[in-house]
Amino acid sequence: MTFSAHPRSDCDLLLDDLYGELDAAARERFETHLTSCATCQDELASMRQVRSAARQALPFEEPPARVTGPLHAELLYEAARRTGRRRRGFRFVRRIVAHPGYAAAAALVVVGGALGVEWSRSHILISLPPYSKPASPVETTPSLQPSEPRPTGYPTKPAEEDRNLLAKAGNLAASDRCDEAVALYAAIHRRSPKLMTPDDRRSYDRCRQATRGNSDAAASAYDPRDRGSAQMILQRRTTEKRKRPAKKAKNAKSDPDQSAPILKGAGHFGNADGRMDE
Amino acid sequence: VDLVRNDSDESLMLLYREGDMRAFEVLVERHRKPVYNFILRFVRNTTQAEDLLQDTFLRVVKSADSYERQAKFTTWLYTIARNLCVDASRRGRHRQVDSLDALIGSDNGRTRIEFVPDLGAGVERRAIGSELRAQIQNAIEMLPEEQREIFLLREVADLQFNEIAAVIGCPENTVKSRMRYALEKLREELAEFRDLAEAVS
Repeated sequence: MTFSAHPRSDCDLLLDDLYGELDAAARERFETHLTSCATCQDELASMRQVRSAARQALPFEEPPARVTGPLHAELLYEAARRTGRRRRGFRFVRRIVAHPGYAAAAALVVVGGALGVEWSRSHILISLPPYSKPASPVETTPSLQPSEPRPTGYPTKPAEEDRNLLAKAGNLAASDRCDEAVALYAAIHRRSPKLMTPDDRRSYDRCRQATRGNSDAAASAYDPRDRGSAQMILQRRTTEKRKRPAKKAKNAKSDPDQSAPILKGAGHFGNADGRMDE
Repeated sequence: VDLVRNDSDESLMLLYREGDMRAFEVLVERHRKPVYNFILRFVRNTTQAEDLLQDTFLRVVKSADSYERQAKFTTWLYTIARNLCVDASRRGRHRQVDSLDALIGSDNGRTRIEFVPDLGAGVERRAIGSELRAQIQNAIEMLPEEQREIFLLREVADLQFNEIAAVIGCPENTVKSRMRYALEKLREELAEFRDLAEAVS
């Protein structure tokens, strides 16, 4: 006797009952039916055995150390970056406008414009400034804000920064810190895949192989107590922003926020004490 | 934190969409193990399962905006995981045939007995137990994919039949009849093994 050959009606409830999907009324109906249907009794008993054998054959396995270690770190990093970007979209313009640098830049543009008008009045010939001109007054703002030191070492383009990070990942790979290198390569790859040379890819693959074969070591490098949550990345990112506000206006177009978490991510993946930070 | 921990999957997902990373972490902690086991049983390869698990959660991150409030989170999550598994198994179909041959040839079940600790009189029974386990495992692996995925979604992922229907995109009745075929196949396997065990003893 098989399920499919079984007559329809109350016997049809057997599968649902086997998996506890019957509501109270249907269950009562089925239990009443069971008392008078030997076929269903046997069927239910044997299917319960099948289920229990199947569950023994498929014991729940713990996700390997690679999953809870490096991959988890990479995942949280990616998740934090994504929500960051989503929320940034709306506040982007407002934050630029609210920035003190904006007022300075606007003032310079106004003054520059006025001077330009003065100049053109005296020269009759009016020439439009190059399209990039409005950005240049911002470059000179440090003289207006002597208290705020110009950030040093901050690259002007994300691509440039990623190139630096690629070099860093290469160094990590060379010094056998493969799991950190993998995390960094992965982050760079997600952002600027075209930047990675075949050599970088080979190095990345080599490191991935190394961390795979050695997932316990990888996990110990990512002790859950040390690993820190992605919340931490977000927090670090906001303090980062507070520390270096001047770059905001300067890099408005290239959106420095997008590159900032990479730097923070590198520190995050590297070590709690920020070995990888500059 | 405890408030977040007790939240439903659905509200955690919405919290994450608002930028709450803690909610995301709780979601991952909650579902990582069952999803990993589902994928592992589906693709039967640890490294591939690790990668697909990662891809599943990365896709959750990327598609967070398209997640709808009324959708049950686990249904959505397993739809992603299952689709990735189906793609992966399609890509590796030719290799899969090889590995199945290897599996049958290597007689997986028998080698497992060697790992059972020596417990004197208990050995015989334990050995049969582990051999039976291996046999059932094999039988599950040999199920046609359309039955196996339903069996795994029910037994490993613990989804209800109507949820499985939503994940696969087919009527609930189809899900149930495939499930019955799968269970019957396993029962035959079990009966065969018992006959064999009786014949031996």
